[in-house]
Amino acid sequence: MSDVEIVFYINEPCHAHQDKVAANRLTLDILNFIFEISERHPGRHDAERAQFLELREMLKPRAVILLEELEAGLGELYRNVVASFMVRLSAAVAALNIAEKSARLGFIDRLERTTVLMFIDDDIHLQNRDSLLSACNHIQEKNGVALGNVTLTNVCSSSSSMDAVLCWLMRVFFVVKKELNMCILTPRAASLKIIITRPQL
Amino acid sequence: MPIRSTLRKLRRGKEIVWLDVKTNIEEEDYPSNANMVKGLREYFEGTGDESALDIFEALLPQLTCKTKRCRQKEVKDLLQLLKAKDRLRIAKQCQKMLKSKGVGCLTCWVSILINTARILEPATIRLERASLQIFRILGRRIVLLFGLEPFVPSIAGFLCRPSQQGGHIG
Repeated sequence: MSDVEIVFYINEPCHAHQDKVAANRLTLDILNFIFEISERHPGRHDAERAQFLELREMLKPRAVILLEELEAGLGELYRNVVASFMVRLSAAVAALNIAEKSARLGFIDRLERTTVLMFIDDDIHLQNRDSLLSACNHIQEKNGVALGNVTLTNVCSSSSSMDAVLCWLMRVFFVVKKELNMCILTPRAASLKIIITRPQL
Repeated sequence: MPIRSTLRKLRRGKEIVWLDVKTNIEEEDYPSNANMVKGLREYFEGTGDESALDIFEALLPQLTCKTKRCRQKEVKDLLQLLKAKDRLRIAKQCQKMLKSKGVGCLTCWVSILINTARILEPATIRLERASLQIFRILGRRIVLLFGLEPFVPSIAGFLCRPSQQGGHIG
């Protein structure tokens, strides 16, 4: 893919536990190093340092790393990302100074169709490595959308004796929500055009 | 446009591509599925209230017979078990729900029967006409007993050997 940008959102609630705050800061440092935003090496020992350097060489896309409080969770994230892309789209059009209205509209339409937004949580494991790429092609060629077919493997609560029943309950919840087409879980992907014209997706 | 009809249209056009993924949930505080897990866990432990069950209660109005699989009864049964905090039966009910293709309510069954009758009606009429035609040729009268398949071989046997069986049907 020619132009990929990864936006990392680290959601940190106001009164997060100090362990979580520490974990978030470490994640932030690692991502900043890997994507060459910072030169400060977060590795604590040689093996880690080597691993981060290898990732730095391997991963070349541009990245934006944000640590924010998203009170409304995933819904707020969708809203923020789409709003941000709308502003960028508007800026890109303004920068070109296209006088003719139809040409301007054509340019906007092309940008909307070719920009694919893909949302994915860090705890989502793809079953097929190539699926994201093929989903992206599908979206651009057929103007479609990509949705996750989620299988819940386990639940980890603070009371391990309840994990099994909680897992069954959440599985049922996901299945019924999927049958109702009400599931908002990631991965979700669509072109900016679809997101603007059919925001209900 | 409502989300369901939009998704239906997308599905018809095969515009949706499904990505197979696996995930796990770790209990968390902020709004997410992980927070629902926390609510349910606290409810089972007795430290939380029944609002944890709202995630299932909220599904009920959506579970109409128009959906692909009517889950209304199943979710109602699950809610009852959740209110009784019967964890073993909750797990069994969940397993049953995941295996099942959806249990139809009375309205569902009626609509299934009506739709089946609509599909079968032309075939039934054709079958009836054909049977009457055959019977006219054989010079006998017959009352077709639909839904009594076990009797069909005996009726056929009777038709084929009228002299041995003797008499008329009906």
